[in-house]
Amino acid sequence: MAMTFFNVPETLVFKTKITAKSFSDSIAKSYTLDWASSEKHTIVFLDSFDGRLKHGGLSMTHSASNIFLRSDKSNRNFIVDWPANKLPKWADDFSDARITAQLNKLLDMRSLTTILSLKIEARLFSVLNEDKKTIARAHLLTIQNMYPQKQQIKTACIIKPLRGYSADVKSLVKSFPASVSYNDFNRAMISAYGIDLKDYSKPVYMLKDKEKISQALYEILHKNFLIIQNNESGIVDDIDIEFLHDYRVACRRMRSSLSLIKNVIDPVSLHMLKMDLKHVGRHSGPLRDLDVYLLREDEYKALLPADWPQKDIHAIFVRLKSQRKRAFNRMTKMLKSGEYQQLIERWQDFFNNYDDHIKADAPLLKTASAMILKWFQRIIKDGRRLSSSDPDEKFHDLRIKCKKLRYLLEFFGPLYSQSLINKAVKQLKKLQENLGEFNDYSVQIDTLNLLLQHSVKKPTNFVKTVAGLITVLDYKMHQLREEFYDLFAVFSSKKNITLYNKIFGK
Amino acid sequence: MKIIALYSMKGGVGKTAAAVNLSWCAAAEGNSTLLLDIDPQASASYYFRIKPGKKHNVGSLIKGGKKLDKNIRETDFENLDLLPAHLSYRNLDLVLDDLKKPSKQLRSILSPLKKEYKYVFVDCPPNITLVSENIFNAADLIILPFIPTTLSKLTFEKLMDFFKEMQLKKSRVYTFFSMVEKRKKMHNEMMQELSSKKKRFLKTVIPYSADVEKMGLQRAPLVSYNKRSVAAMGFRNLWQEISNL
Repeated sequence: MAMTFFNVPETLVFKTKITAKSFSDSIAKSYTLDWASSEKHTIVFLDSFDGRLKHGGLSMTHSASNIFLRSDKSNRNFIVDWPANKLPKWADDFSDARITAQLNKLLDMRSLTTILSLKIEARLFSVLNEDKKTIARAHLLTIQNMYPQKQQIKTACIIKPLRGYSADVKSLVKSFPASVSYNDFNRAMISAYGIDLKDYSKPVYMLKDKEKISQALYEILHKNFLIIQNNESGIVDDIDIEFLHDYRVACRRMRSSLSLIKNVIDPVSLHMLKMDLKHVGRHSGPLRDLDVYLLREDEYKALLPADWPQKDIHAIFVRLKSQRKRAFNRMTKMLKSGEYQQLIERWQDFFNNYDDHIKADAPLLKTASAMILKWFQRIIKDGRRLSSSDPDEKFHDLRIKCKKLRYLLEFFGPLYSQSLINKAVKQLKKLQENLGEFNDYSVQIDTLNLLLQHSVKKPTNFVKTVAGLITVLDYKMHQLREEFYDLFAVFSSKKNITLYNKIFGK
Repeated sequence: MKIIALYSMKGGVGKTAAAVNLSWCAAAEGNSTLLLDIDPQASASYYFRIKPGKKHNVGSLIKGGKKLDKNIRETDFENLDLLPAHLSYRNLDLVLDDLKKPSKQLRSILSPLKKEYKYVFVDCPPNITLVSENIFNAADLIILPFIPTTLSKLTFEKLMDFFKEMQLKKSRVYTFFSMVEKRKKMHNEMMQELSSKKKRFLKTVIPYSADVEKMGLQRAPLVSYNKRSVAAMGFRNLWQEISNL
């Protein structure tokens, strides 16, 4: 829309259909409406299917020959020329590097798609007071939804008071027909047409306004609970393995928060929640492992010597694929079961009556800082004691501790300075990646061993191939161990210790 | 930011008409413009159909800052805002007298507006008081509408003496012939006599026009609705001259 906004105009979506005449008739007699002509527009709203722009505080629309990128914070439009026939799909489609960078950050490889398409007829009008002074300029909109489905027509009004007349317009609006008010037109349309952009993966915890640890725990549990639910259909329909991954990560976050944040929830409820999460994990784990393994098919082919017979490697993956299918069926069966439904209902009941389940509480910031510092110190202590002769399990234990610290930093990060948290996470992340990769290879070796054990037919070539893969993976694990010591030295350096004490110390 | 005051010791010389039309011209060029009406008669405010807000009075003017800001109103014309006058402004000189640096107050009140406005036009009350002194100290340009009669000449000379006495910069003062009736012999003679002598007289002449009086019925600047009127064309030319000073 070719309108210049100096301050924030208000968008009102009327509850019933309004015409210019009925509108004129309804407002207070001391005001006059001065109508101009109508204009027709098409507006297309773009975002990733999971609303990454929206969750990141941006909205993107296409209208006439322009793309408008609006930030919720600044409420200003960034306008780029764009032909109507081919809408952008990827962050890289934009020629402006700043836009591409900003979009990439939010979209993270996901594509842009049309989430809403509207046909709008806009009629400009002015509102005049008893002195015939213009106090506001507005548009009356008749809106029709073209996509996702053709819905009933809605009417709305965007009204902007002239400087100094906000109070007058505020009282005038009270005499308008019943409506829902928004301070952003884009948000108004998304909401009015019920476009639900669910959060599929990364939760944003709102902690700054909370004082107690129980409130933070609720926020963490509930946000991840919603993510779990949002990913269910993606798993069942087998759209992308990422759905299962996001589902499991959300479960892990919930388990982690329940075990790390102690003495808040009553023991009975706590036990129930933990058992439920364990149950879910039991079914989803094998499927995830196989998904990852299948994903690495090309990688494994590259690991083996060039003259290794391709068809033998291929045979392994054929078997893995059938195993995957079985695990998938088990997972979807669980998700569709009555037992699972009851689990979800139990959780919803838990959230609805959360306050009844709180055993004890503590101040949020103090408790969070103490926890983080405690786990940090434990990692330093245990890591210093590790040597290359120690068995794999010890590294596994350290990996678990690092994970806990990482979770704590993720959960409570919003309470501290973003830049300092980023610094704290930096070295931890590298250490975790090393330990994580180490673990991955360990798991895969186990899978391959299982494959050997459970295969009915064991042609010699098959056995050789699997053994060969195991050897290569084992060597890789050894290399990672060497790398670990360097990374740990940096993590346990005076610089890093000082940093953690600075952020989380008393 | 340039502060342009429309000033005259006498009333009825076309001061408000000039303020209203010149400010419209400045705004029409794309410049962010404010018209400050400090004449308690509030004629400029009337022309723009703007009444002061309930909480607006001489106090909010003097306080300045956010209080002043809240009372600024957007006119119906793009880029043009107005701070309407209030009847309590009739006490403005008394209020100023009570303050420190009483003749420099207006300058400091207007100073924060430079972020927002390129031009501030001031429609002044027709008298010579502490208020006028404030205007003389604050304005970058002081424009005097001058009806070409003998009395006007006397008044003008008195004003220049006042400036000399107060040690104010005379170079900021400019006059233009206002409400000129070409039929009148006195007007012609006076104009000839004065334009040859003084550099202070601008070239543009604003003729007397019934159209200007009708502004009170239209309640809008003449230049905005009747561009063809001789007075309107005069104001547009006058703005060109003033903006190039």
